[in-house]
Amino acid sequence: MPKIELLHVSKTFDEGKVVANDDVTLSIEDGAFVFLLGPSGCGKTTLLKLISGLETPTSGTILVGGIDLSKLNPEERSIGFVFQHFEIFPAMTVFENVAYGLVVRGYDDETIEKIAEEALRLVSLEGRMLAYPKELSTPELQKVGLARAIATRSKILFLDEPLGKLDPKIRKVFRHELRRLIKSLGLTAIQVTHDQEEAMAIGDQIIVMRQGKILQHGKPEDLYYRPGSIFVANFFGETNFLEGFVSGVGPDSCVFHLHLGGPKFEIKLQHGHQLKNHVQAIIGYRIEDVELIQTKQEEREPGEELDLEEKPRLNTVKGRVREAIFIGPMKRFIIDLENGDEIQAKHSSKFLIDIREGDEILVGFHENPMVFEYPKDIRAELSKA
Amino acid sequence: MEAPTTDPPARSELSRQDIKPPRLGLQLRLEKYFSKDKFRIALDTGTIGFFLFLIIGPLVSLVGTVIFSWNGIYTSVFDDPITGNVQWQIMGTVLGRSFEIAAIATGIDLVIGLPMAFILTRYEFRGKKLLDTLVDLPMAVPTSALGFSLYLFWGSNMGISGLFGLEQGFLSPGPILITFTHVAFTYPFIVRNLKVIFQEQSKLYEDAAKTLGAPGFTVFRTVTAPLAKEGIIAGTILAFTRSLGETGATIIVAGIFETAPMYVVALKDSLNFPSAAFLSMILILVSLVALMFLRIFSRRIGFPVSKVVPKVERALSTRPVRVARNSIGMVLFIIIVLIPAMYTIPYVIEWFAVNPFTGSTNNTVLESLFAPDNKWAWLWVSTGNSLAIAGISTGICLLFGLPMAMILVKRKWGKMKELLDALIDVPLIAPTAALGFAMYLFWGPFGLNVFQPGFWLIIMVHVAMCFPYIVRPIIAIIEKTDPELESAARTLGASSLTTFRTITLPKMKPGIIAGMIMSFTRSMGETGATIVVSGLIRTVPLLIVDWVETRDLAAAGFASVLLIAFSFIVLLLLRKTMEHS
Repeated sequence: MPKIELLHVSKTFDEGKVVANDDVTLSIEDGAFVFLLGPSGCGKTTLLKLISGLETPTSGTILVGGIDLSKLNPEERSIGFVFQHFEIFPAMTVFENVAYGLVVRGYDDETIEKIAEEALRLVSLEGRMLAYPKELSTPELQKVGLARAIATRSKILFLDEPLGKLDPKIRKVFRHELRRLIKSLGLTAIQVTHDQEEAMAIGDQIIVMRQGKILQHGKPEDLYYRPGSIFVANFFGETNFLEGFVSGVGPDSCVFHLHLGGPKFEIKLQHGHQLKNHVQAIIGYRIEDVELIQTKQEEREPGEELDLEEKPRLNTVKGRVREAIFIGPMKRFIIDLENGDEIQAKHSSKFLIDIREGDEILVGFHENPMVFEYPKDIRAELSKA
Repeated sequence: MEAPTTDPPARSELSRQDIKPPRLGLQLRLEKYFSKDKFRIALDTGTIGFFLFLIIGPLVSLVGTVIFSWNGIYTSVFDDPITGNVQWQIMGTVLGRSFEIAAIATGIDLVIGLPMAFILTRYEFRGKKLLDTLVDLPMAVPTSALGFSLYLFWGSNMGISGLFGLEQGFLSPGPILITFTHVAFTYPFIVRNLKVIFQEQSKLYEDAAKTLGAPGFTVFRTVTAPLAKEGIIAGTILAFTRSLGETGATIIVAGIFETAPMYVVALKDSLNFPSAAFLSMILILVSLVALMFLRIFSRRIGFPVSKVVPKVERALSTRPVRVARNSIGMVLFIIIVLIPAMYTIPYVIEWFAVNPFTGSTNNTVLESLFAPDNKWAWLWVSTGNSLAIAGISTGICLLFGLPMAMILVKRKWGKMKELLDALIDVPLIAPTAALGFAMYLFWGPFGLNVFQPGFWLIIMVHVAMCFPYIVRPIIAIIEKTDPELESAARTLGASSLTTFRTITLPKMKPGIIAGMIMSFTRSMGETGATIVVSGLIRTVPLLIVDWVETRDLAAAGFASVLLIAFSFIVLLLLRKTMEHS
C-alpha cells in the first residue's frame, strides 16, 4: 500500500539559481494525514508537485509503495490533487468536473454516475450537480475540487492549501469534515497549509519546511513542546525567548543566568542534551505558560519560593505591566522585566482581571523551558520567513 | 470543534475494491499513445522545420543571392559600363523617398492618433463603440482598395475637388498622395497600440497626480506618457515599418514616382534579380534593425519629465484647449482617414448605372464590368482565387501555428526560443514586396524550384504573411489561461493529449477564431507580395491594381467595394467572437 518515500530529492529552477527543494529525505506511512508547513516559498507546493509528477526532480528518487515513480507521467501516478485555486474546469458542470477523472479512465456511464454522485454526496453537493463553476461560492468550489480528486479513487490525496480561500469561521468547521472524509476513505494525505493551528488540530503528523529543507517531522505535540530549533518554536504558537548563559550543567539540569546580571533560574534539561558549561544559550516559554502573580495585596518578596498546590516550582522575576490587552476570552500582557527583557503572557480574561497597565507584578517561569544553544544567526532564526 | 476520536466506517462506492479499471476506448488509447515524448519531439521538430523553410529559408536565400552574385550586383548597381551608378542613384532616391514618406506619415499619425487613443480610453460617451469600430475600419480595407479609395477622393476629379468645383483632382498622384495614403493606412495601427497601452494603465495614477495638483497636460506628460512609453515607441516603429514596406496601395497612388518596395517589383519584372535582391535585403535589414531596436532598447529610452512649465501647461489643460484638441483629433480622423478610406462606396453607388455628370451610361460600373473584355468573369474567377488562397493559407497557418504557439509558451528553451519569438514577427514588419521576392528566390526556379509563380507560390507567401496573425492571438490566450487547469487534468488521469483536447483546446477557441479571421482578411487583401509571385493568376487586389492602370475606375471601384464588404463582415465577426470570449 502507498507508503511515500523520498530519497535525497532536490529541485532547482532557472538552471540552479532557485533552490526549491534541497536534499529532502522523508517517509510517510500508509494512512497518515500529514501537514506540510512553512513560510511562503519554502518549497512545500513544489514537493507535492514533484511527488505527483507535475514537476520533475533535479535529483533524487521518489517511491510510492516501493515503486520508483520517475518513469511515470502524472496521469499514471494516481495521486489525487486538490489545488490551491481549485482549478475547477470552467466550461464543465459540477458533475462533469467530478466525472472527469473517471471519463478519461474510460469507465462506463453507469459506473461514472454512481461514483461521481457518491463523491458529491460525501461533500454534500449533490444538489448542485448541474451548476457551472461560475455560479458556485468559494466553499462550494472547494468542495468540487475535493470531490473531483476523491472520485478518481486514488489512495493518495494531496491538498495544496485547500482551505486557504475560505473565511476563518467556515474554515474551522471544514477542517474537521475534511479529516473525517479522508479518514473514512482510508487515504494517505498530505496537506500544505500556512495555518499552524489547522495543522495541529487535524494532522497526524507535521513536517516543517524552510528554504527547501525539512526542519522537523513529528507529531503535533512533539513539535509544539519539543521544537528542534528556535525557528520551529517561533513558528508554532507564541514564545518568549530569553537570552543568557548556563552554568552547573548536569545530565538533567542546569542554572540559567539571564543577561545583564539578571536573576538565575534553575531549569531541567532533557536527557542527551548537548549543552556545555558557560556558553550562551536561549530558553523559551510559551506565552500561555508564563505565570503572573499579583503582588499588590499580598506584598510578596521577589525570589521567594511559591509553593502553590499543584504547580511546579516557579522561578520568579519582578516586572511591570506595560500593556494589558483585552482580546475576548483571553487577555494579553506585555511586561517589562526588571533586567530589561520584555515578555508577553496570555491568560483567560476571567482570572487576572485586576492586573492593569502600570502594575508591579511577579512573573513566574516554570522549570521546564525549551532550551536552545545560541544560534549563529539569531535574526534569521527569529524571522518568520 | 475538536478532531473526532472515532472515524465513521467506510462503506461506499469510493472504497469498493471490486470496480476494476476498464480498458480504454480507442480515442483515449490513441491519445495516450501519441502523448509519448517522442511524438511531442517529432511535432516540435516538424513545426520548427516548417518555420525554417517558411521564413528563414527565404531570408537566407536572399542574403545568399546577394553574396554570390555580388560581382553582378556591383556591375549593374554601381559600375555599369553605360549608365555608371545610375541604378544606385535611383535606389538612393527611392529609399530616401520611402523613408521620408514613412517618417512624415508616422509623425502625422502620432499627432492625430494620440488624442483619439485618449478619447477612446479615458472618456465615456454615447457612440464610443461605433467610433472604436470606425477607427479600426481602414485596417479591414485591403490595401489596394484603400489606395484606390484615396486616389478617388484626393486625386481624381470625382472626389473632394468636386466640392470646390475643380476640373482636376486636388492632389496629383505622387509623394504627397502617397503620404496621405500611408497616414490613413497606418492610423489604426498607431491608435490600436496606444489604446491597449492606455487601457492597461491604471487611471488611479492619473487621479493621484491630479489630487497632488498637476493640471491635465502635466499629468499626461509626467505620468501617463512615461508609463506608456514602450507602447508609443512600439506603435511608432510598427507604423513606420508598415509605411516603409507598403506596396499595394502605393502602386495605385504613386503615379510616375516610385518607392523602394515598388522599385523591387519593377526590378523583378525587368528580370534584374541581383539588384532586386540587393534592394530587398536593404529593406528587410532596416525592418530587422527596427524590430531589434523595439525589442531591446525601447525600455531604456527616457522621457523628459523633470522640468515642468506650470503656466504653459496649465493653459494647455484648460477646458477650451481640451475640447479643441479632442475636436481637432476627431475632425482630422474623419477628413484624413475615415472618409477617404471609405470613399469608394459612395462613388460606386453614384456611378453604378448612370454617369452622374452626363446622364449617359458611359464609364459606369455596369458598363465597365460587362464590357467585351469580360471583367465580370475575371472578377468572379479572381474572387474564387482569393477565397481559395485565403482559405488554404489560413488552414496551413493554423496547422503549424497551433504547435508553434504551444512551443513559444510552454517550452523552456531560453535564448533559442527568444530568437524564434522575434522571427515570428518578421512578416509583420518586413516590406511585403521584399519578402515576396525573397520567397520567390527561395521556392522559385532559381532556388529550390518547387513552386512556379502562381497559385501555390502565392499560398506559400500568404502563409508566411499570415503566420504571426494566427500565432500571436493564440499565444496571448494561452498565456492568459491558468496552466494549473492542465495540471489538474493530468492529476485526474488524463494523458497530455487528452488534456489538450478536453481542457486546453476549448480555452483556445476564441484565440484561434480571432487569429483565423485576421489571417483570412490579411490574405484576402494582400497585394505587395502577391504582385511579385502571382505569375498569371489574379486575386481581387491585383485586379484592382490592373484596372486602375488601365483606367477602368468604375470596375476597380466595384471590386474594391466587394472586397471592403467582405472584410467588413469578417471584422464584425471578429468583434463578436472577441466579445463572447
